[in-house]
Amino acid sequence: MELSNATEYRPVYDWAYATVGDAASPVTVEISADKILQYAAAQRDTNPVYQRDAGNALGVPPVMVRVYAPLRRRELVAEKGALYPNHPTPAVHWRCRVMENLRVGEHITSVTRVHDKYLRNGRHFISWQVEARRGSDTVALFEYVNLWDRGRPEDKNR
Amino acid sequence: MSASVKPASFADINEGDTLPSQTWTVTKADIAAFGEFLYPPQPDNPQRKGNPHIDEEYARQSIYGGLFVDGNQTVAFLCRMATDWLPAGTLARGWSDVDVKFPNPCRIDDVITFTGKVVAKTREHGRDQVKLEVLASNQAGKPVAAGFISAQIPR
Repeated sequence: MELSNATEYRPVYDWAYATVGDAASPVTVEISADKILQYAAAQRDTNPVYQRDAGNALGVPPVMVRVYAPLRRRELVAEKGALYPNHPTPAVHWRCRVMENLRVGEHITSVTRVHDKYLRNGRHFISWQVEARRGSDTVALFEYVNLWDRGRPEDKNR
Repeated sequence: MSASVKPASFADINEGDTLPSQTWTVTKADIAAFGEFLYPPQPDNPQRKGNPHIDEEYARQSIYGGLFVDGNQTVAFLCRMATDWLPAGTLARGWSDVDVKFPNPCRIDDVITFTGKVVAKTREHGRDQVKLEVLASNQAGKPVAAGFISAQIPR
């Protein structure tokens, strides 16, 4: 008789398991006017540059990188056959360099990678990088560092 | 220190200029709205469940004891302060470098003050660039975000 409900073991993607260079499959996202309008509404950002106007304003706010080049950590972990840690992983560093002019309607293809992992002051960190390309050109690099340990009791009162 | 007059162009910007400060009293509704922008509420969206910025029960049971602000949202406010002051179109067309660290968490009911000043003004490779030092502090004076925003000023 075959066992049909055998549970497959999946490791937790903890700091020790994470490997620099681990990458998620690429994804392509359009820079959408609707999403920029949603940003402006959510943030109550009334700057006309994020609205439609006669001059076709609709600029692309820096934080839109998280939409057109999504940080696909959970997808990466799943593709590695692992489980995402079941505790918050607060961000400690956010950096985005945009090297080109970006416009609504453009399609951006991005890949999320584990860029670095390090130990500092007894805590473990993972640095992620999302490379965003338009065709063959890199248009943005997004880096995000998370504390990957479970928090400490003193963190509750910080 | 009073804020510097909003510049119309690169020529009007000077090192040492200070940006008008902005404040944000953090509400659950603001966090939720930003969460819907960044993590759309679709049933199969893996970014929502167990997200300490929007999954209240998960956040409450965590070591942090409750929801805290998504760093992306804090960055968005810092960029908004910069975009509001700099000449029109700056930071909204690319050619930028936003580099921010989060030394402390930001929580509901915190009153966050965003400040900034011009620390460099350069013209390189035919591009007009400014660099701002930016800071977000809570009501206790603790920094919750600090760093730099560099941007090309459109001509």
